[in-house]
Amino acid sequence: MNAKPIVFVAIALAVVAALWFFFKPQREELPVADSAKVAAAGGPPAMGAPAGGPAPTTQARHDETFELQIKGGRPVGGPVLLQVHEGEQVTLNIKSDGTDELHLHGYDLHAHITPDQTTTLQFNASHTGHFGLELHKARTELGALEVYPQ
Amino acid sequence: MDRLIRGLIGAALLSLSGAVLAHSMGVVYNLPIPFWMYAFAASTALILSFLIVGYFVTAQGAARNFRTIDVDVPRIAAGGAALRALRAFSVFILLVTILAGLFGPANPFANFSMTFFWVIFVLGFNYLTALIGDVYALINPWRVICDWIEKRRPGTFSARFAYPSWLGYYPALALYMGFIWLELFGQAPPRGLATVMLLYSVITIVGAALFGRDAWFRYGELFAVFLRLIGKIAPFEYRLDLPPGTPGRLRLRQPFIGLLQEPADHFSLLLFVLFMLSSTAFDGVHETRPWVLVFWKGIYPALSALSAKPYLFFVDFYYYWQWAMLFVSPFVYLAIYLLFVWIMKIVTDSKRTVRDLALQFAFSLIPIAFVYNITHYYTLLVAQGPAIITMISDPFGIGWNLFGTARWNLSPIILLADGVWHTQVGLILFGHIVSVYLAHVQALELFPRGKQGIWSQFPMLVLMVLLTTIGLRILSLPIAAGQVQDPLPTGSANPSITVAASGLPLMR
Repeated sequence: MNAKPIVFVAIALAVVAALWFFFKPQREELPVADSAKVAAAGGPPAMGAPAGGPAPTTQARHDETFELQIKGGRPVGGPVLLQVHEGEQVTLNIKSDGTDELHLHGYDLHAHITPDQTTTLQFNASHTGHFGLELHKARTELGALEVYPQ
Repeated sequence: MDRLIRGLIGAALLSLSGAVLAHSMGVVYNLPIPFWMYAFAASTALILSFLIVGYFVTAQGAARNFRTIDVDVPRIAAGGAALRALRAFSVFILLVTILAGLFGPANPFANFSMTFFWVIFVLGFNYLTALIGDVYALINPWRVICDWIEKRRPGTFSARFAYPSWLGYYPALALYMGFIWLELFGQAPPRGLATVMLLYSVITIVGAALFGRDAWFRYGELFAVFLRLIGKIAPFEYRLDLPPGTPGRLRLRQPFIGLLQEPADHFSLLLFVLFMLSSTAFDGVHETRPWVLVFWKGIYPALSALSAKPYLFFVDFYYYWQWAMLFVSPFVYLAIYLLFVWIMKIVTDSKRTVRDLALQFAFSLIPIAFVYNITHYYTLLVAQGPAIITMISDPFGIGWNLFGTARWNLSPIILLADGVWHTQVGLILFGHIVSVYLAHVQALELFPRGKQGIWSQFPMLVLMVLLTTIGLRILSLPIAAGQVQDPLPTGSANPSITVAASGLPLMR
């Protein structure tokens, strides 16, 4: 029986394992390089949103609250890309100048929004992935929720 | 008045950028793979590729493993009742799809035709073909229709023109480009999809009538060409179209080895394979932030400074730019590919032309293209595919319950991001290794003389590591769903630009 292919496969597996352990970091980092800009974006200052400094890269799991502002069916305040870790409690406070229906894909959550009243949507980020956030009536994309694994 | 209308159209365009229409089938985005995974996979691809070269270097005469086993297929299967039933069923499904599209619910997620075509056929049947071989050649609904017509009116499909050899696979390639455009930018609702399918049916039947069935279904019918290539991956090859009296034959072979059986027989087929690669790469990249910014931070400021066109003009222009990039993409890949083939020719001092060598190695790219397709789309298949179970009970959305499944509550299966990442990286590495292996077997076949054989493998190795790294990199790019800060100071002509995942900017 030809041992050569087996030897090579064994070496290949060893190489793959070695590289995996070399590259894998200790803890998962949120790719939040740009969210500093996201939070500090122009327009009316987002109330209560993460301040203009670098977004949290600490690994402490905590609850996240995001303030979103909608004017004329468009997002005008608050971060558009909501990045959280799996398992965190997420709260969205939405202020709008019109009536609409907010829909979070994947989680399939709906929130009815009325003018001059802060609507709150609370849920546990139990599914990882990238989920679009949209307004049904205005048919616009508000942004997205990204839930990263632990 | 004119400006008002343009403004309204523009606003309508912007508001249509809703998530539901972003792709033909709605949004399923995967999280970008973490950078460390990308680095790991790229390094692994590189090192394993060298390992494979090492294997071949020390394996004198690693002849192709073309051992095949032929199995006679009983009359029942070959041309018999079972096959006839399958063929009829195939036409029936095509009919149901078109009718459901025309008369079924307008909501794309609820319409049988959308899920069946984009998810079950384009994805599911594609992957199935890689497993069980090119069965489409046997049950191609359009071919079946032509066969039926020919039986009733013999002579309808006797070729009026000989198929010109220079035309090659360009008709299929053109249709392929139109198909991908439809998928990415067409935003076709169910009725639009059904209309397109009707149109495609007409094109196919007319093409077969003009050039004969064999010629058209070999060179012109998009899915026949595509699935024939994918079928080369499978360990099964079907020979059931033999003259009556000869038993049908099923050939068993090693997986992927079918890709080495013959070179691409026309330059257009090479372009077709490259478009398989580039269209998936383009789909992956065209809604990522870096790509979208190429236009809005690079091209747009330059153009708007030069011209006095209103902002909405550039929204249109942005669309056309994206389309142009799609159509240009296979040629970019062609340039890269030909460069490395040319290097290989120089390194081996081969008498063969670059074009000849390019055709010889064309199919070795298919594994990379194929796994890249899977990694990009399989989550959609998993998320939306099961919905077909409820839809078959009520294909027209009028309250039927044929199989008792119409009321089942199947929520979409959303895979965990962790598992998706590992699957994507694993698949890409696997496809890469297969491609490298195939290319090396091919190289040894073409350049058997000792040192020449070894050196010939390095250009292909570099090419494939490059293609794989590009594919991985695209998987790791963030999706454009964040705000983009315009670097120009406030009060300037350019308002700050928010870029949604659709790629369209939203005015502040």
